[in-house]
Amino acid sequence: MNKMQYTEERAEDLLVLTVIDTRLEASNAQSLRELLIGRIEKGEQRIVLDLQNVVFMDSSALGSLIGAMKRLRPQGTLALAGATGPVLRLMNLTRMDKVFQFFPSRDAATAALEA
Amino acid sequence: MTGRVGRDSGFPAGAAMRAFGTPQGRRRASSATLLAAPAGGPGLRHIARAVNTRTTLTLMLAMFGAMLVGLLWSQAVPAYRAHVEASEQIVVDVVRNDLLVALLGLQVDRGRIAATGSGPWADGDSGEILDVPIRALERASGNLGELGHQDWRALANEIAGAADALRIGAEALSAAERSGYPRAIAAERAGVIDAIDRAEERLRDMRSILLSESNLADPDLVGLQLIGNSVLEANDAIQRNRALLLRLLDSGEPVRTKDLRAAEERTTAFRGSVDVLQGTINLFDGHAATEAAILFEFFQWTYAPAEARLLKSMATGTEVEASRRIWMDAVAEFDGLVDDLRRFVFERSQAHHARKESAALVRMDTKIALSAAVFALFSLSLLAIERLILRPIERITDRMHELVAGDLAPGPSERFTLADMRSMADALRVFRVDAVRRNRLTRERLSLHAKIADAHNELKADLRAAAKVQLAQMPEPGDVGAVRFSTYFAAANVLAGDTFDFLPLSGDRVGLFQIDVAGHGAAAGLVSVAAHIAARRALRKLGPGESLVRAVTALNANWSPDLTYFTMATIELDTQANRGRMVQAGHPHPVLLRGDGSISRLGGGGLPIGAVPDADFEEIDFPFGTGDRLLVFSDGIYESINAQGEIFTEERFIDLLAGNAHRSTENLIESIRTALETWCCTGSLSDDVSLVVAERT
Repeated sequence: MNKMQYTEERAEDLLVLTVIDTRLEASNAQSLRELLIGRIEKGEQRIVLDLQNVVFMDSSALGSLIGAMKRLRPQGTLALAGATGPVLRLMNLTRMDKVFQFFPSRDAATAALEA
Repeated sequence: MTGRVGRDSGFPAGAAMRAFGTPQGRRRASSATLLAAPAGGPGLRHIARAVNTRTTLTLMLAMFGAMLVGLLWSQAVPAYRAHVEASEQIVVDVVRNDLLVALLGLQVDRGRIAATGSGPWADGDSGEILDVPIRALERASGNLGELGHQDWRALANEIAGAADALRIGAEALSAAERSGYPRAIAAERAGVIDAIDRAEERLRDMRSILLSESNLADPDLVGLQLIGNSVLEANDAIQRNRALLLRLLDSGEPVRTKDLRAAEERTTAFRGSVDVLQGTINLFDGHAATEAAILFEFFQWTYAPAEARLLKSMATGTEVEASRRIWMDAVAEFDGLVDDLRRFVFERSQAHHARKESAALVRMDTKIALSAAVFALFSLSLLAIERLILRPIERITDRMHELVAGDLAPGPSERFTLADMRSMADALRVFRVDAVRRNRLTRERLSLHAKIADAHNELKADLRAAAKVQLAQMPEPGDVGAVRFSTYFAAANVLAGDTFDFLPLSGDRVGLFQIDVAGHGAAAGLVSVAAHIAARRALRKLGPGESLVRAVTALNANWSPDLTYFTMATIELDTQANRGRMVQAGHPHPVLLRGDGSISRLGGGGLPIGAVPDADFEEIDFPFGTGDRLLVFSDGIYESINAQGEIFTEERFIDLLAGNAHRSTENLIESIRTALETWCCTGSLSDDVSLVVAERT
């Protein structure tokens, strides 16, 4: 299991996590899951996950996102920003727009959520 | 453990262990191995094999001991010899004294024989002729013979021979005198005197020989020897004059001037040498010189004037009797003084030799005692080296070899006297305890490994059994009603996350589903089995015209939130209506290859099963007439990664399908397989690959 590389920023009550890895797959999905669940258990309820660097995502990583989503309270938010290409296609295929909020970019996400 | 010790300590434990039979053999083999390791040539190794601490020390100490014995012997033996010689010198001195007695006696008896034959001196001295010297010689011969030395024995025999010759001479003279023949008597007298002269000469030599055998460098002895010689000279002169003068006085013959002059010259000659003699004696022994001076003084100032007066009386014929009495008194006194001086000399030399013997004895005793002490100390050192060093080293070495051989039983607890031996033994005990602990840990680790291996094998067996179950769930390719199914399936692990099934439904319907559980491995595989069962049950219950969405929604709602989500394509093919309908739950869009060659993707996507409990799904409808082919597949088919890390991609896969759409299903699947295998040259899949082709016949 690899450790997923990421950066962490805060914009008011939003926690912005930027994934540095270019691929989210079985090898680092567990690390992604632990990161998200760890932050949620610390009380974070509004999280933006910036996926602009990610060129590929598989079902394991999607499972991590769904797992994290299930931990959030009903009014909590897990927003996905900057998903493109295969990632966006996976999200569309699996209709994740019904589960997560999607934004074209990180700035769009923070602007929309802070408003 | 032994292997490691072997490597660490630099000698091959295996070889050493094989050589260890008896403890002796072990010791020998070990010292050979220990020493041979750093040794250079085969010669050194050969020597080293035979040498250990004990032999080295034994050799060195034996050499040291031998040298010590030699040294002590060289000290003790001369001391013993010196003592024996000093003891002998006492006897030799007695012999010399007896020889002096014999010489003095011979001088007296020669005068007596010359004067009167074997009769007594006219002045009253009587006794058997030559009796005194013969007895003295016999004593000397006996004493000398007892010393045992060969030279001494030869001298003793010679002395005894001289005594015998004198005795025979004396007896012959007595016999002649008894016969009364004057000529015979005169001949025997001359013979005896001749024998006496010879004996005297020889005995003087012997005294010198005996003196040279003793320590001439001793000044006291030289002084006493000089006194002895002086006494002999003085006595010789006096006894000869005594014989001459008595014969002249008693014979009544006219006195010849020549005879008187001869007597006077003898006396004068000795008087002339007295000063020199006395001075010389004084140089060596002042005390003895004082004693000798009494005799010399008497000779000079009493005897010589008395003799001169007698000679004058005899020459003139006046006062002869009175002069004779005075002279005779002087002679008698002289005899007494000679005897006194001889005794003094004898006592003094005896005392001297006794002192020397005593000193030699002390020296010998000291050296013997010292030698014994040194040797005792050496023996004690040997004992200490054996007890304190050698034996502990051998015990420790044996123990070390037992450890190397893997014998970890605690040995007998031994207390060594020397601190470093104790610390060596303590260190060895620590090594042993460490080795025991290491052995135990190794055993535990091995047992743990065995258990893990067992568990692993069990798990693998379980997984294989589960995989069999899973594979049994998946149908063989073949026709179901008017639909021919072809499949391509490759699992990334023993258990797959992918599964599929197709089954006849009531009427002319055929059911088909394909599932891809998120993740891989056993967990995904088990979820896959459960999902397969749920999906198959839902399809079987599906009546003609019943909502496929409702069936999938129910399946999603009933899916335990604890289980992993999965994607699924659920399809019903109606061969009578030549149509198909599908609910797509997050599964890749299936591909429809129409009989006319057109190619299209089906569905608008949908949430996976188990992602959201109240998810909505959509049902789509599509044509499925004769010659149409529907391709349902999991994402693993286009997400496989090549050696450069590139993904095959969905686009490439669709292009591949389009390019081979005209081929038979069998050939189509073969080209897909070839393309994937060429792409994924590593031979291991990162995800399960499953493809079901449904072809309307």
